[in-house]
Amino acid sequence: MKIAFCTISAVVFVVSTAAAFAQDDSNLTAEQLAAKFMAQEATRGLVIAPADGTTTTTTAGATTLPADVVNAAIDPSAQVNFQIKFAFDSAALLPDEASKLTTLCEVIKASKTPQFKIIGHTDSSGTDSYNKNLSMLRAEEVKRHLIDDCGVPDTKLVAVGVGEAYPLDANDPKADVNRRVEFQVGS
Amino acid sequence: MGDSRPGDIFQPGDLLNNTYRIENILGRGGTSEVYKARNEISGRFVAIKALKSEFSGDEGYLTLMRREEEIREIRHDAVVRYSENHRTPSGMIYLVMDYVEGPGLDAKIKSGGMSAPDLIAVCKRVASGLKVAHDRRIIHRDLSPDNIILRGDVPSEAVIIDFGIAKDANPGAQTIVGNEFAGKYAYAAPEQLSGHTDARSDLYALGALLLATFRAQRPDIGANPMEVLKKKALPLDTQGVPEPLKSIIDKLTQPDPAKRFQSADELLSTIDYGMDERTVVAPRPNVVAAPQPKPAPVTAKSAPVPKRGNGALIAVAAVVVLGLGAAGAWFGGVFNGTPPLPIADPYVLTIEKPASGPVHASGDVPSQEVAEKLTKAVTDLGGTAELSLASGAIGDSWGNDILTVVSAVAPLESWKVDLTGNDGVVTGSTTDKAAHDVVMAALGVALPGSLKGKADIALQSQFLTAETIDAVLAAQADCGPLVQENPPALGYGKADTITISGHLSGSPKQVELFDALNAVADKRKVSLGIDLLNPALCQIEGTLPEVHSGGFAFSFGFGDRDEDNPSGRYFVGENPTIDLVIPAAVTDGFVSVSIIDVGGNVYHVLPNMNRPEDNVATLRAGASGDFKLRVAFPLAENTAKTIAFTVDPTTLGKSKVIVVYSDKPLFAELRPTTESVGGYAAALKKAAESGDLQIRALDSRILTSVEK
Repeated sequence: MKIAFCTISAVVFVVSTAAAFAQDDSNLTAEQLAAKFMAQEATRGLVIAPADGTTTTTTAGATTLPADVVNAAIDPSAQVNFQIKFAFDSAALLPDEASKLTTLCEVIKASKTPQFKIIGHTDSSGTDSYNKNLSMLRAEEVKRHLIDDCGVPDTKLVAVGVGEAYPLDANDPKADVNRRVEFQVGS
Repeated sequence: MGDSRPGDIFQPGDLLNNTYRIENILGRGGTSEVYKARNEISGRFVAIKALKSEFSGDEGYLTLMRREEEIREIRHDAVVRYSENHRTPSGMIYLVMDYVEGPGLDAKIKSGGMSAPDLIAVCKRVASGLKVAHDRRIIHRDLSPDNIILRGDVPSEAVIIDFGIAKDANPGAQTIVGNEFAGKYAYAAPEQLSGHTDARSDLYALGALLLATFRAQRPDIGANPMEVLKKKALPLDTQGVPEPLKSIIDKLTQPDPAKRFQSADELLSTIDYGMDERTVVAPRPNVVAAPQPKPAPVTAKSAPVPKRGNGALIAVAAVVVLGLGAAGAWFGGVFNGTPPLPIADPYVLTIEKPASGPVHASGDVPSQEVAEKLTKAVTDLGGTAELSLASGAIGDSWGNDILTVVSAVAPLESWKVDLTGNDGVVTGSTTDKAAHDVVMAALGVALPGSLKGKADIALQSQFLTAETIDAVLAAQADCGPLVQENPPALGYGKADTITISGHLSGSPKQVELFDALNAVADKRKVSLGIDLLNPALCQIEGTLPEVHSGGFAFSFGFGDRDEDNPSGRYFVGENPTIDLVIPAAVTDGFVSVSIIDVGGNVYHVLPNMNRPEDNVATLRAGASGDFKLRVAFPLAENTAKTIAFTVDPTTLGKSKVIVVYSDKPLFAELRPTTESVGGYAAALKKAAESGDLQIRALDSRILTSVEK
């Protein structure tokens, strides 16, 4: 794993296989992204959306959600699966992932939507409380990047950590793709 | 100059490369210092320009030193000869060049200037040197009186020094060298203000410095950028300069580069032609313009120049107009009678001595006698006067009254006499209480004779307080607190040095700090002991509570061999091993060891998910004495539970290993092995401010990664 001056050889680097599990919206244009957020806003209810569009929120997972989150299905086509991937046991934004945020940042800045939710996830390695903290740190890292490096107003972003409760690949909870943050229209 | 100081890069007697013995310092600049040294093998003197240590690792400055070294390809007697760049065992970079013995034109300016024929010799010689440089597309960019030296004090032996010196690269550094805005642009061509420079810019500078050396006066180019822009757009005032020098300077200093001599070659052929034919460059109707009807008689030494409508300007100062003796005498002879003086309304005279700079008088005076006396008084104080003869609504004793006032305020450090008719405003400032009291006794109640008004002289403390400096430091600190080393209890006296230590984020910031301190230091020496750290490290420096060392140490080694690395420098591809050494006295509490790397990532090597133990007692497992705990492992011994590093070439520089020692685990929840420095800084701040735990100590060590 090449990060700046050091290589942590004990850590296996992420090979992205996200496309196999979900549509990846990170290549959409600003207009397309904005349209998706608008569609999501129209449905109002929020869901931590699994990739295939089915609502697989587990009871255990539901209890980890912040109180203001309403679990409701949204049209899969309206989901914004803008995933930012992380290395194992890391809350540092990878350089390639940071550059994916550029377009999204412009959409958020231009959007009239008052608030966006940044939701952090982990894979299932580690304890629940460790993962809850790590997922929060990941969401906060993305938030910090959007605020400090891109100029999004602080008030427009909420960071949420949901730990390992909502794997993208439920069949393999330790899979690399489960380590991510996602974006949703939120309030 | 000449006397060494403890903070200098080299001291007299130092021997460089077993060859060059330092004799004394010649000059100090923002980024470099210049020394005179003797080559102990050849016995010849050399000049050594040493890059200050804080810039020795800066690639930008190294590039400039290399570029300056390239000047050695120029072989011409009018260009100083360069040898090569060297590096001392401690990493100090220096450049060796010929030492040219003789006064610089700046010294000539201070000692009264030079004659026109001598300056033409200088001009010719410098032009021939510039021609060779320009032919090689090397532009000096910063030609000024202090970098033209007259070898053996012979004008035709002038030598250009200081080509392309390192100060050019960094705008901040320039302000240090020039010390003020005006100093930086005094001789610069107008197009250089907008960043355009070509060979013709050097020609402009040559013209401007010839004029300054003739007049023995630095050009007045204005005090702020707007004024400089305005003044630079105007042709220089060469009135009173004898031909052919005047025409040469006029053509060299045209604001529009297209109207100047287009090359040093063109300048040279013009001079040669002019000299050979014994004519002037651009013949004028008469060297001495036809006398105007208005001017009053003036002394033979000064050339009368019509200027303002209300009088004749006497260009006096220290200008010695050679070659015009006959003309002057002629003037004197013709105007023995006194024509009526023009009327000035308002009748204005200002004489000012700024805190830094010479006295200057300008305005109206009622008679030749007053003009001469006042000019003498002002020049005796090292200043200049531009006075116009005029009549106006002033008292009979006005002239003598002014002279009384000037002699009274002269001992003050700064003062200003502002007169409109008989109304006077006299202000001044001094740190000398006795001088203050004398002036106030003389002028504090009323001005003498026909003058109305009184003086108001401020008595200033001669001590600069530590609080004043602290305010500057607080505004400049961007990498943890900056502190004053042993600030005097009563404040800094005139001879005290202000010494600052701490960290900053980079050399531009360091230059900014230096400028800001100099702005308040009032000529006191400023010495910076600043470590430059990268922005990632600075973010942590700014966050860490001010905690003392706990005696923890880090020992660095190599993964592939049993060897220490006391320097902490690693090449790309190497595998650093790091051991935390817990001192014998520390047997309980908790440690948190992290590496903040140059790229902005933080690696928590202890505790982390795979190695959660951070309790000192448990880690020691009964062992006493200094306890070594490995936190970064050799690649060969690496397992899933440990971390090994290799140095990656993508980002090189300084990383920092830190240990925070606290009475409870530093973070309530384990941090992930990797996070950003922003995330770590926020968490540290939260932990330090939570009140839940006490941070007992903090120790750190820098690890530097370099290209092989």
